[in-house]
Amino acid sequence: MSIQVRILPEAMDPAASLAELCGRDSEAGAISSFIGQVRSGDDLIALELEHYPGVTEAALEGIAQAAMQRWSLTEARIIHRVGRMEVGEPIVLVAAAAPHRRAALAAVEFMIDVLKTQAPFWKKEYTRTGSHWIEPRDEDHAAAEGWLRSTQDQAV
Amino acid sequence: MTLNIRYFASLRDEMGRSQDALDAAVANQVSGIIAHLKDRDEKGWVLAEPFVRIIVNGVVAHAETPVADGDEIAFCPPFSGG
Repeated sequence: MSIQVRILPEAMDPAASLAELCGRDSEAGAISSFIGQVRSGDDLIALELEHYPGVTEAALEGIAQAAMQRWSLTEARIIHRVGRMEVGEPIVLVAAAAPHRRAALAAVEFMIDVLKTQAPFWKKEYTRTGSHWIEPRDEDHAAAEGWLRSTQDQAV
Repeated sequence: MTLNIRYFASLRDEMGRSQDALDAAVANQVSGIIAHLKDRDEKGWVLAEPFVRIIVNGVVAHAETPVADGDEIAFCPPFSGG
């Protein structure tokens, strides 16, 4: 039973992180993961992620802890980049290990949905013509609120 | 006797700085800080916008949350992680 939360200012290696999870816990019959990466489009050159040191980590730990309890996970992991990222670079890795697949899959969906609007991160897009801050989309809010209504969890 | 104010992301750009140190006597709750900054700074009105999220000492707060000497009060635009 463990939680790992990390904020990374430099490039992450999601494959290495997932490899660490595999085979580690004999009670885990399922490991599920989500990797978010920088998508091209709209002349995008790069993304910059900002966080609130200390407070963001605490919010992520709260989200991982809520997932551990709700789905009886053996492990929950959230690794999130900050700083500047080029197209194709990973932004976030969310992973869950559980005795059975449904718990692992649902827990990952919960953690990524909730962290998008409940953990203090801010995202700036750089294009050929300038830069601008990104507002969360209505569907991002709806996804998080759906989970939070059902659990009464509050990340921060 | 200080209130430590922090501005993040687009609010930092709007305010033109990342932090302020205010005399703790200017306010005893968050709404007093916002009123003070609206008076003092031509861009201070952005802090009263409904989308602004307030965090006091790492905990989600609101306009009526009490503040005291040494507190850290953060003004945040909507979060967009992942």
